[in-house]
Amino acid sequence: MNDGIAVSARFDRGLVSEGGDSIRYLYVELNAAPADAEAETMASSPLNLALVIDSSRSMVGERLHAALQAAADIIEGLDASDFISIVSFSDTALVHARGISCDAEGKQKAFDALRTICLRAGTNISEGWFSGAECVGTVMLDHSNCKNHVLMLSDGHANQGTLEPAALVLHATELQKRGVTASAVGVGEGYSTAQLYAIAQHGGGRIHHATHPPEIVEVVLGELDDLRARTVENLVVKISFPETATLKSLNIIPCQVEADHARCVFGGMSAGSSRAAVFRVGTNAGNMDELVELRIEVSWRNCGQPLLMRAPVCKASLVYANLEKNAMQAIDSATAFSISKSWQSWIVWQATNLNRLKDWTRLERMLSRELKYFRRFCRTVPGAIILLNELEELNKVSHYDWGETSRKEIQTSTYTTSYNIKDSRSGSRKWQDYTGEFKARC
Amino acid sequence: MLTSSYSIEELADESGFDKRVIRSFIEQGLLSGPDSKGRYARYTQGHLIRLKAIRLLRDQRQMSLGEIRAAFLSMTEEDINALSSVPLPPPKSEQKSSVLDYLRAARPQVVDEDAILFGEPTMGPSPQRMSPVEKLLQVLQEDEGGKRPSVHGKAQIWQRFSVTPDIEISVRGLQDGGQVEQWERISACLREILLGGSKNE
Repeated sequence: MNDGIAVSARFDRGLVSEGGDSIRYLYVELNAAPADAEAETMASSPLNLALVIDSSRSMVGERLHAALQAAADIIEGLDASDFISIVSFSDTALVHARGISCDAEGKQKAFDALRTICLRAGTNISEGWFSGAECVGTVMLDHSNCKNHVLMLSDGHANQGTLEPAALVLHATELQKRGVTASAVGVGEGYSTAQLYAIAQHGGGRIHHATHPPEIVEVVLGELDDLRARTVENLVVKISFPETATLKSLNIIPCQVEADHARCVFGGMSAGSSRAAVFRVGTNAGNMDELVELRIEVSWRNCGQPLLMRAPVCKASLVYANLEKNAMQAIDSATAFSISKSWQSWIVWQATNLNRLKDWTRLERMLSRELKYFRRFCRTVPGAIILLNELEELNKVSHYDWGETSRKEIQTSTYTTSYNIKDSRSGSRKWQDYTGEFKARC
Repeated sequence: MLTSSYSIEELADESGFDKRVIRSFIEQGLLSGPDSKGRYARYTQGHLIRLKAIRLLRDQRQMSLGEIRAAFLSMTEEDINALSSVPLPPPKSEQKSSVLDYLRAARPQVVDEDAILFGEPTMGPSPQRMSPVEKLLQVLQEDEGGKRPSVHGKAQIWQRFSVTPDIEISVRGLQDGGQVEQWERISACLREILLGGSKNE
């Protein structure tokens, strides 16, 4: 029997001061069961895929050519049991192929459909996405065991249809609940990070970035590999915390924190992979030896199966202690290092968003606050000083405009680190590579 | 290994019943209360089994809640367990068509794939693809000039008009025989549209 998802939750330190005002870091780790016969069955569920291609005029030339090449490669890579739909969008959406079965004849139809895509004016991302989801939904009526997915490819900001990222988040969440996931490929530097991330992160898929047209083919084929390997979907973590504690998410993974719980959307995972999330937990005053108990509940669906699965409830506790005991306690070095890596990615991600907005005041405030915590934390964590130094370097150049291409590359790097996934591009770079360039430019 | 403990939200997800409905079942004695009270109230596998049995008896065997409560009194746990394992259609939130339902609600207009044949997207379903009821709604809306008819009647007496063996119209507030005759004609028109041979086709 495949156990699905194994959950573990631990703090960097287990004691908190009875006087209150302690800060601890919670590390929640999810491990998908390694590949076995059952995982293989889940991974081999047929694909019900909609390719949604931006056909606005900005895609002219190499971009559209590469997008169509990537689409053709995807079709070529599909099996006879898979289904493909092809949608293009500009100011409106056009369905070029709806739920075609990918046998030899079907593939030929899909190739022919690709040839009917032509450039038009406007960018209505939501209409393209909805049309793709509608195609997928139609196939779902007769085929309930598929992995149902929409892959968006766009190089622009939506200027028609649903524009607000918050509204896109809502639709992505609802469609994911109904079994349709979404990923997005952003091309060049002109696409809206907020819009595509809203669709992909909340849609249970992933975001890819392609700076140059040839990278489109690499990332789209990478997406197909991810989709094939996926065994788990709609993975959601709920963390409940008592009134004596506060909780802040330090994650790129979307987490909604309410008064007494946080809900994080992890999306899909493949067999043997892992994901993690980090939270800063503050505690009020309490009585010696009393517990501050957090409950971690995890739910997901196995690919191709409608049932909602749940892991046993996992608990992570802090214990109130006197000042002396609290000061003397040891740190869990391995956990603390993992925390600092995830946390660092989140800080860089936040800094990039604020750099994009050129909101220098908030950027300075955010970096100043987080670095204060980070410096204190890293002092006691073996190996973490390197991570701190990298952030200090970034801090020095934070008030210069990094440029959108660099910002998108930095966010892709931190995103892949945070989700513990690979960037499919052969020429991908780490965010740290850009700091030196910025310094030279400054 | 999977847990057999559920929060009210999880129980609602699994059973397909709304949280409020589950609570009303508890109040009506169809279901026992949670094993623990307060924010962390937990329900067991037994609760889920009983909810699935309620769903089967109510939806498939058309039993009232009172009849179900009485039936439970004469059933063993094994009987209830056996009922709960009878395959049922998935809860509404998980039905396959719900993606399409959601999309219909989320966007006002639907792009039709016929667009590809004619070069321009066609908005809204084409008349050829409409169900009889959709056609009827369209006809009625056109007849009313797009106005939404009032749903509030003043009188308390309902008059029923049979359309087909499965459909009837209930109207209240009819003042005289002329109005009754009008509704009879409307029912006849509807019958024609729904059963075929409509002048609109």
